[in-house]
Amino acid sequence: MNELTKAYWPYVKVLILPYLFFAFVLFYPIGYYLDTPGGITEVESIISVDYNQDKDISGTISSTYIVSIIRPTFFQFMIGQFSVYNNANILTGSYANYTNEENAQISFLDKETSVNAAVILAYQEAQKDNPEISIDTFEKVMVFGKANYMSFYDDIAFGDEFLYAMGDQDVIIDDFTLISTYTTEKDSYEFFFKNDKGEEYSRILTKDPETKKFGLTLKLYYLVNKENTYPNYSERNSNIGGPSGGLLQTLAIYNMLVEEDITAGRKIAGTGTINYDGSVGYIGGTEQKIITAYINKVDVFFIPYHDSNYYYDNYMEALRACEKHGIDPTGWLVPVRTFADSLSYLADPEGYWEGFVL
Amino acid sequence: MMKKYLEITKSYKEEFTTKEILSAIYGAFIFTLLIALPALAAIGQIISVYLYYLTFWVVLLIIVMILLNMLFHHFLKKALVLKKSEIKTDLNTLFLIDQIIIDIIFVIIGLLFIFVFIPILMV
Repeated sequence: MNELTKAYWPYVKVLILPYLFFAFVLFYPIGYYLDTPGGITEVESIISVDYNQDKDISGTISSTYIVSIIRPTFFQFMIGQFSVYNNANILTGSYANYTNEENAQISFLDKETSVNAAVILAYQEAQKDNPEISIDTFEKVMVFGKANYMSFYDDIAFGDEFLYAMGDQDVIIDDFTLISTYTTEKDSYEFFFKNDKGEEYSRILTKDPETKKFGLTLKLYYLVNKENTYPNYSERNSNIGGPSGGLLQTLAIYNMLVEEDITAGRKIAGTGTINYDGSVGYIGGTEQKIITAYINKVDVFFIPYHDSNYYYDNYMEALRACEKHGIDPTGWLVPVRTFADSLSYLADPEGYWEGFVL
Repeated sequence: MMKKYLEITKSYKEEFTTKEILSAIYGAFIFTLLIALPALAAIGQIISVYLYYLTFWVVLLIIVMILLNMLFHHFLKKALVLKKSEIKTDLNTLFLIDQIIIDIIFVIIGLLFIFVFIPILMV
């Protein structure tokens, strides 16, 4: 060791400052986000339904993911500029307020609830032709957002279940939509939650003096009661978060439940959140998802479409992305408003376009 | 080949004490680490940004590991030469065989990642 140090010491002295600078560039995070193309994941590799096991599915149904780096390092930001496929911008909104770990927690909460919505919708749709299929659900109100000023910020985690709050004159508020109605007389109220370990706890939350709010965002979810659901399904752990695979998850689960094979040998991919009423919701990172689909040579790519006059409508964004990168969208890029639209397209692609008005 | 390798290893152990060998390995490891840490961190970050070329990056990573292995053995030889100016053992042959064995392990690990681990992890 000593001999080597003596021999290379002149080089070490010269290189120490550039070395430290490079280390800084490699590890210092900046307040931007960087979206880059990712890949496609077959839904079958994540979710499986114990039904129609002998059914031969000739094609594939895949959700599309992109790589979204929140607070990249200087180095990641710089190398990200070398490709026109990447998109970097200043971090704003809730992403800027939350830490990377919290953003990851929200992303996986979104993904988990999205899978539940996909299962519910697919089972309900398949149930129409096959009464043997049954689905049971229950409601759960969960912590979805936290403002910086919220009391006991670190104690209350994303995904914790809201049970009830003690309102004015000790009224028990178990309907979360009535919290603001019954919390007008005081500044502090006791809220009761249940964490992911099943432990109940309470915290006294105080309203922010400026906003007069508790800084807690709650959201109602419908989740699957697996005990009363037939057939059983199982879900594998996945490294990919977010709710944007909802539509494709619904399609894949539906295909596992019905007799016919809706893929008909096609490589189907797409993006879009799924709502309980069957409507398809907007997603982010459209440009990178279009490039991902193009790189992966998919036969069909479903994309949410609701309003051609809205600049950020996903289908309009996708058309602009195709034009920007010289990609021909004909024949594979399919705008959909609902889950039913995607089924209609798969059943009769030519007929679908006849009724489509942009 | 094997017989020759064992003979050189025997000569190597006779010529250098365990303490000298360990000291040289320690020095070579530290110096290699100084170069490997930023290099691997940079490659890791390039992979995270250009994940859609993942297979290409894994191949590049295998090549980088082979180069780092070469560098480690270069430092190791240098350290031993600095300890003893007149060395009878054929260090070049000894370290070349060592490098080939380690490189084969790197290639096997890389191929396992490409064909087994990545398809499992990327879901």
